[in-house]
Amino acid sequence: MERLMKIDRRLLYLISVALVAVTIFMPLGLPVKVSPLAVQTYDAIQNLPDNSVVLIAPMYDPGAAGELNPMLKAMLYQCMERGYKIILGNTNWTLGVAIAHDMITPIAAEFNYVYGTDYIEFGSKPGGSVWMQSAQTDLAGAAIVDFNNDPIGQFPLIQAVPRLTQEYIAAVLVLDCGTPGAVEWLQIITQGTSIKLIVGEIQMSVPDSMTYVQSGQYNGMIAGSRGGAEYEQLVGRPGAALKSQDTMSVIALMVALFIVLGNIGYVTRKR
Amino acid sequence: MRKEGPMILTVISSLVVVFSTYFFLGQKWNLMEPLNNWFQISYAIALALGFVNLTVIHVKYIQRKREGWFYSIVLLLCMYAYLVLGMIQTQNGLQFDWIYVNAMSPLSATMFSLVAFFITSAAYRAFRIRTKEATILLVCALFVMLGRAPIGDAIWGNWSAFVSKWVMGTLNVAGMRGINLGIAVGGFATALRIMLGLERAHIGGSGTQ
Repeated sequence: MERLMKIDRRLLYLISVALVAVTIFMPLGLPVKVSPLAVQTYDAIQNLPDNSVVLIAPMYDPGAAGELNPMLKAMLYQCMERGYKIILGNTNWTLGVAIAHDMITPIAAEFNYVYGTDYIEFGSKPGGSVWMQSAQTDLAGAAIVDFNNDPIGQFPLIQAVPRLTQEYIAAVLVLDCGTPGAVEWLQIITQGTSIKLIVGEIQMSVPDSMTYVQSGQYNGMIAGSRGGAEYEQLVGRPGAALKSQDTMSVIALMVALFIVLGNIGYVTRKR
Repeated sequence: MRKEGPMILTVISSLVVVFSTYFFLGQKWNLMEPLNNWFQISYAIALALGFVNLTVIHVKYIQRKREGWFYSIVLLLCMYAYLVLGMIQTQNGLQFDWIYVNAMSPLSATMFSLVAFFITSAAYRAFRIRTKEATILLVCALFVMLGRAPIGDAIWGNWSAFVSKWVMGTLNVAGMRGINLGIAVGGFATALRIMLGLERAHIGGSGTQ
């Protein structure tokens, strides 16, 4: 029994890889129930006034793309189906905007969104919270050029949104995986205003972010990969998050099983 | 003056921030805007300083043939080659952009993917019911882990979501709020100490007074 405590880690890695591979090729098709939090998040975006301008900030890098890409995709679909104008960009997460650029371009083409009028990408700007403060007083001055290095002030959407304040934007949608992230957008841009703050969060950060959801400072939160799967269903665009739920399930079960086995070995040895 | 100068600068800057944030006149005069611009400039200078610092350190490693000095050559070559390419092509240069996206993206994703394996192994090794507290932690972790995946619903039905939600929304939030409040108070106290010149670690002092 004591051997249960000393299972070779390489065996654990091998089983993990095998389980991931098996569930990718032979999905279990477990149903994913939609939670009230996912509905709250969906509604918060859906119920923004018509023709709203939303800022979408992909504050992540490829490490978190597995969890956050599906959320971003579903968010873009929901926003474009509602006809919102989109300002896309972030501060300090340079690869996040590259990922988002590849994602928004085909979706915008699908909805006949015109660059500069219906959506714009200002890229990634250095400065974190300080950049946000600058954008709060002068967006074009803070961004200077767009993702393609063209002067951003020439585009109608930026002329219509001179600063990131409640008069001009209805919501900030943040895909968050670290600092600067959703908390900085809350502190600088949305706190004390009518701007909604909706967050897509990696599972690791959900415990911390839950406090902001309960206090009402986040108007919605897509919580980890499971949240992404629920949100995809609500948007009506089942995608990568929903597909990954079987893998999540078997890996969670495997980890739980090995924890139990390890503890059986531990208790037996103690006796 | 080597220490007094930065200290005076810190006090003035922090007073400007406090005045601009909490007082009507400060907001009206918009004193934060020039300060923000200076911050952006300082940020760029700090980046350049980091560049020089890295060069000095790694050139020394190479000269002294310290263990792993070969990696220092790789680092310097990558750093300077990419800098030159960036200066020639600017931010959106085709090759400049291609290298960044196609090298950094897979590297970053690979690093993060490995975490899954480490967590699996670490969870198996670390979660032992050594004490009562550890047992409570283990039970909560199992419920939340399985409750956050559809398999939890399949095993326990609606109980899975209920327990997971209760642990995350009640136990977790209470704890996190306590921690966050502590951090906020600690941050405020530290800021106050820096403003009063009692905390000098950031200017190369011995720390506290």
